[in-house]
Amino acid sequence: MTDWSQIVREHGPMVWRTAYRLLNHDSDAADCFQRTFVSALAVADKEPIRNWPALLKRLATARALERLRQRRREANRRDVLPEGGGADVRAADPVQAAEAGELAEHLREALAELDARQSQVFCLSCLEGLSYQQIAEQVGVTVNHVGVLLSRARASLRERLLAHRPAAQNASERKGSHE
Amino acid sequence: MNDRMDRRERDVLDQATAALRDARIPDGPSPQLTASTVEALQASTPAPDVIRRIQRRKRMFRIARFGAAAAAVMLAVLAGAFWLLDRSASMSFAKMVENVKKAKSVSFVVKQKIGDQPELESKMFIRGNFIRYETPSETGIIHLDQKKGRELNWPIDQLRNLKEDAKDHMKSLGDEDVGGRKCHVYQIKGLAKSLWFGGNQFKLWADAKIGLPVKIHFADDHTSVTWEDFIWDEPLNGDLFSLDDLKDRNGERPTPARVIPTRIYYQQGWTELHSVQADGETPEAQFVPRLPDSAETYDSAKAELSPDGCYLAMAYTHITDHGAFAPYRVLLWDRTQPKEAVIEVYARPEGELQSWRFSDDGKLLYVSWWQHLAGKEQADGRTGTDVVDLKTRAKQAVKLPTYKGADGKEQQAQFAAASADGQTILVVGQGLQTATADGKVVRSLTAPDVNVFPSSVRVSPDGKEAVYATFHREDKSHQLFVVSLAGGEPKELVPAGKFTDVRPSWSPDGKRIAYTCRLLDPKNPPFNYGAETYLKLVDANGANASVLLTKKVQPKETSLELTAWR
Repeated sequence: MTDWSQIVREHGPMVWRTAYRLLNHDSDAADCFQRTFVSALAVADKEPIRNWPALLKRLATARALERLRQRRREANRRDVLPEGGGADVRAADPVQAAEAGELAEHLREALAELDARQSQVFCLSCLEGLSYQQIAEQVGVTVNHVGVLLSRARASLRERLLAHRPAAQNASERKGSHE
Repeated sequence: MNDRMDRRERDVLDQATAALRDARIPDGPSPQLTASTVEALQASTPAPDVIRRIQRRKRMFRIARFGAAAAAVMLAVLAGAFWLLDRSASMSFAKMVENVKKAKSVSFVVKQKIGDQPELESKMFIRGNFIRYETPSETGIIHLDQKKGRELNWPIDQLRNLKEDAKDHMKSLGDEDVGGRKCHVYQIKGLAKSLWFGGNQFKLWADAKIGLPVKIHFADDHTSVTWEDFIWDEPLNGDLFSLDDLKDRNGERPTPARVIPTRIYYQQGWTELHSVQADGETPEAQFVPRLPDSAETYDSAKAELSPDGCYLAMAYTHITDHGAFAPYRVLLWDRTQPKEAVIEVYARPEGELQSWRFSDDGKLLYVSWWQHLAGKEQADGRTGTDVVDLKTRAKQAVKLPTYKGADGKEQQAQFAAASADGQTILVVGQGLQTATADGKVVRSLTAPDVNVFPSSVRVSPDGKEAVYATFHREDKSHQLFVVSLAGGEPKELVPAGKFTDVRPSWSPDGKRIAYTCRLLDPKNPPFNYGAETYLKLVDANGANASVLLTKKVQPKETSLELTAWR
């Protein structure tokens, strides 16, 4: 029998950070937090969990990316601004902080546009610090394919970041027209 | 100039990643959020929405296919490790390092087993900065740009940083025989905390004669990875690394197709449409367009080739962590054009599309859909078929017969195929039946309790017969039959209990039938997939059966999927 109280108390703060980092929004993060543990419940029903932090990081990242993609679709219909504008980064200089906040927001947007598996692998490796082996286990690919996915993710993200907002908007419109 | 651009590009992503990593995050979760989450978990009552989606995952299991498997790059690691170790190692090891550095190309196989997960296998070819990887479901080419040093973020960086400690990391384990070759064995351990395998050790076998690695093995209590079948400096076919458009396609090459008559088209996995002559000669492959900005995945099982062979009516499946969702729109791709533009010809955003079929003249598309009934259980839905005029995009519903199901409720038959003039349709209701265009059953072609796959039903070019696949619930086996549309005893082409995943198509002259199928293995639920998949040919009367292609596959790898014979 899984001791959920213990697991939520022990790993909750980490799940919260993973979700909030990507979503930058209180109620979205809270929703993602709960969904993460509900997903974990379904996984734990089927198999014993060997590595709770890695599993929870994967699920939290997946749920947060889903919400990001959903927000991006909604943004076609109306402007949704994250709480707190752009100044969400720890930096001493206010100008620097604003710039960093904007960059972080651009990366969130770019992640929402990326292939689901690539964005997942990117977040787990570059934001959550999981090893290739841990990611391979969580995502179900070989360690070497983790490298391939990461390489592709980085190339696409870089392109999107360089294109900044105009490209992101074009892509949204294109997709929006099918929905 | 390019160098400067590269630096700028790298900076953007690194800066953005650092900014996101260091983003200010308010303390959390709140005590209320923690408490309510714990309460929900202890009561084991996930939110209804989530229950629905998890159940749905089971229904769509067939197309989830376990998210593709894997490919590989070891050379970077090897080069890094050797570079790191060469000073401290014995002469033979140092020589091997030199040989690896000098090698122009290498290919090898990666086998990975983690915990209870199925074993994954992939193959890699490396020449210069080009890497081709082949996984059960995916083939691709990537280009490692040496100028962008950290491009791959592979462990090479970490290895390099450990140079000074190198002498403590390698141990010679003596000689061993591997596949008849004498090999020196080395153990390398504790390379880096942040290495792929959390600082554990791996073993390396090097051919004593040629002085190059033949095998590398890593294992801990949960994971085992083996790199083997190394072939060094083999002249690799240039086409393996052909790249016309790296930037837009991640290295996949979009090539316009020449349409050659009487070829058999088939697919395996998510990226390529293969074709071959009926004698097995002149195999070709063409990459199928992908949506670059999307999490949608090409649904190879549903693709249909137009009668003239020019257009692929295709769709993308949504894959999320909740599972795979059937397509809701059909796109038409002109294979003969160098550009990969696809155009949407049908969409039903509120539904899921099951299959689509071209009319004989290629002007119409019959699209069959399923739609969830609002407020009902997850699996409750209704089905229907629309016929779309591909020129005007006008669509109208096909009239389908109804019948009384086993539960006494009235059900609508499912569309399977239409005659050339559109006046006769084949439907699956109480078995396979013919019906008039206004939805009246004319004749039953099979017994009423036979489970026929509507999407497998294909009418012969002369319009007199149909081939169809059936499904046995008990063992998941499929059978293949040919039956005259005028009625009569169906002729069995594939017997029960031996194969599954059967997909047929008539030859253009109507004399033969090609089909793909997969060995049945009852020990391998849920689909009882065996370890081999085939492309076979047989005369329409059951004579002259032959196997055109055989492919060994892993349990969760997709089968060969026949698309058409045109």
